[in-house]
Amino acid sequence: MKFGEYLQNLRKDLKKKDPKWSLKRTAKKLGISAGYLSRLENNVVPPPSNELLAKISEIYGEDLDIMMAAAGRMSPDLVQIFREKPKVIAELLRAVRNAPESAVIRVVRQVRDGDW
Amino acid sequence: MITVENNSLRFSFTHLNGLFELQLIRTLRIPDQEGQVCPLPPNLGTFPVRHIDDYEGRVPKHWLGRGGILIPMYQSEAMWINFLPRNNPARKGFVRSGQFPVAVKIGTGKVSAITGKEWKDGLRKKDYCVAPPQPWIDGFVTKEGTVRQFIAEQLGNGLTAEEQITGKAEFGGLQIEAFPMKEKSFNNEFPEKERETSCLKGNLRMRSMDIRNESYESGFQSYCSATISTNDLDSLSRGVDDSIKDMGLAPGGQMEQQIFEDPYGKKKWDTDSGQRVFVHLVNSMMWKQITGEIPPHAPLTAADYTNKGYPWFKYWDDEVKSLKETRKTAGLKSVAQIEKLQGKSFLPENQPIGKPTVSHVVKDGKW
Repeated sequence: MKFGEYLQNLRKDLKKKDPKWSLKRTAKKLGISAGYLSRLENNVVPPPSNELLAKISEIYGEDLDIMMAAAGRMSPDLVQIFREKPKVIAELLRAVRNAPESAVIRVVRQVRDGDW
Repeated sequence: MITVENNSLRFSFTHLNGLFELQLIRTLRIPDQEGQVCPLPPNLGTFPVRHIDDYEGRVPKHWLGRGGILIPMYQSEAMWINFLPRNNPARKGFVRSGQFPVAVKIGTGKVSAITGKEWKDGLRKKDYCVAPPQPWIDGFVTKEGTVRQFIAEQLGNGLTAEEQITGKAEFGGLQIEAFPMKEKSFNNEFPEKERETSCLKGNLRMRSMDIRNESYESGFQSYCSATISTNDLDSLSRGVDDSIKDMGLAPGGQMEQQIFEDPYGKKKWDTDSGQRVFVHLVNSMMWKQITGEIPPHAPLTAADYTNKGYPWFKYWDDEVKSLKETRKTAGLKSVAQIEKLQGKSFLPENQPIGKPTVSHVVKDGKW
């Protein structure tokens, strides 16, 4: 699914529950023109900047990591983690690629160390 | 990375393809009688283990700050810590059968259970044990060949090792940290072509320890793993203050146990790759309040266990040197000794066990 379709589906789902999620009103909430939002949703223009993506995710109530992934990007903190441990992270991602989500959650649930 | 696997703590040292597992084992509270030194008590199953992060809003904020895990512990029971160096045959390159040693620090209230010294980063001389050869640890090392059992007490009564040694009731709980060997040291100690032979010897030692590890029969296991009934829990709760309080470990009765010297030397350990965990202790009522789960059934008393003819254990290895260091823990008073001095009664039961049936763990020799 392309980013535009994903974005439009999100807004349409919100609109089903509340009619205030029209294109015009949503664009106003985001601080952009209705025309630009329409072009985003129809893949006429590429996905927006990370800053606008963060704003969209906040207003739409969508997880930022998911939104970034839909836009073909990775959250900057994840990029940094990958840069610090490229081999381990790459191995981990390949290992969990075909695993069901429940198994992946189990793999990464480590005991957190705190301040003591 | 430390994960919880079937109520065990698994330490993964992926950069060395090594695994180390540790279990917190429920056991009987041995009698604390003047001059009595008991054999090793049995394995009554693992304590249930939960991530402290799962109970935000139900535990004090400073517990969340420390991270770690949560376990329930009755005052009428005790704990020993089981060390299980593991291999991972499912993963190519993980073959370290019984021979992936780790250096383990054990603290209670951030005071070493081996030396009584304050917990500090890294490893200090003789302030840790090495598994293998150390199969387990049952308590505070008070002198060579003897430990005082780990039993749970509320912080603030002056009974825990932390309070006796530091004069403060600040941390409580149990602290564990495991360190792998430096990679170069490991490859020097266990060269590739000799690894299979040395692995076999490691496995024979591990099998003899399995006798204590698997010491309870299925019927007895069912008793210990069953949860307490709701009626019994309700009757226990009447008149009991159920507010969340910090708990720590105090010295109980004496038993024979060796803590072995480090066979490799302190310099061989990778102190930059240590992994640590804070274990928060709660009593049965606090467990129910925090987790919503019914706690496991309280164990038998030592006297009842012995009267039923169940075995106690003895494990002594003359081939490995024991620690001889003078320790601050030597000055620890047991809960019963403090009870006697203060004229108060803290222990729910402290009956003698008579003559127990002792199962000697079978050692392999040279043949």
